Amino acid sequence: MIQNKKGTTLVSVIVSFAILMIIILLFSRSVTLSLNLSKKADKILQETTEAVNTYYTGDNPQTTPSILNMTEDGASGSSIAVKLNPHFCGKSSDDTDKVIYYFTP
Amino acid sequence: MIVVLCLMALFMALALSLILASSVAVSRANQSYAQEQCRMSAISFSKLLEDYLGRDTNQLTMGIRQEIEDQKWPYYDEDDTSGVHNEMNAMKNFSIDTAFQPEVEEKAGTLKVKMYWQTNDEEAVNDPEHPEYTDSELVVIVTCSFRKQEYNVTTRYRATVEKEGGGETGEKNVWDGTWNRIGRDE
Repeated sequence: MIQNKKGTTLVSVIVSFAILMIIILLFSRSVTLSLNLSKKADKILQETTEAVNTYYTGDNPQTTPSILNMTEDGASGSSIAVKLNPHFCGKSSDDTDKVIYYFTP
Repeated sequence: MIVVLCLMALFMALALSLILASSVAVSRANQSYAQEQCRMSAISFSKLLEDYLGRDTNQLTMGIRQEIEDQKWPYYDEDDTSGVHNEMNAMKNFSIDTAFQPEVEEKAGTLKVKMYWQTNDEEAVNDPEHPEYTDSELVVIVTCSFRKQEYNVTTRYRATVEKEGGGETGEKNVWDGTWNRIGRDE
């Protein structure tokens, strides 16, 4: 009666255990990775908010005179072509790497 | 063994879904920054054009005035059936070339401008001797694209007219070439 029963061999138990360990390791790695990604997403959102606040409330923007050519697409013969000379500005705060850029006359 | 393999599949699915969810969160956060940058670029550029259009001594206002007065630029009429005042003829598309400073496009995004003008008084505009632009409006649509995000700002302007003359000829509304903002939609 005992001879007819099919049991689990020690080898298969060891292999299963090894696979289980690998799965747990991979899963913990993926949880760590996703936590880091979530923190990164939060940081980006926070920096964006900070950059927008700095745009509205900050002083001393970094200003660069710029030249922009505004030309009509696909125009033949007479067309409007304008050289614009705005100041290209960016305000940044110490708390964030993100900067909002904008144009002023 | 089969139980372990099933567990493996389950854990793998869970791990992948966690990574996917957090990647989506990062991507949305980056999109949010790009959207804000687009908005600021489009609005500030629209205000820059407003400043130019309010003054009569620059290439933009002079160019627009010349095109309209020489009748090279037809007004836009969405109900037009003749084909003269349709979108193809009446809408002007502009590109902003930042060849001198490529970093401007890199940081502020790609800007495009669409312009057309409309009138409520077609007879006055088409008057061969004294065309009047009292009821004319210029519509300027600024589009900014930055990192797959896009933002449009539509600004409407009315032609600035002054009353001139009098006596036998009567008073005439004379357009000084500039435009006053009457509204902005985002």
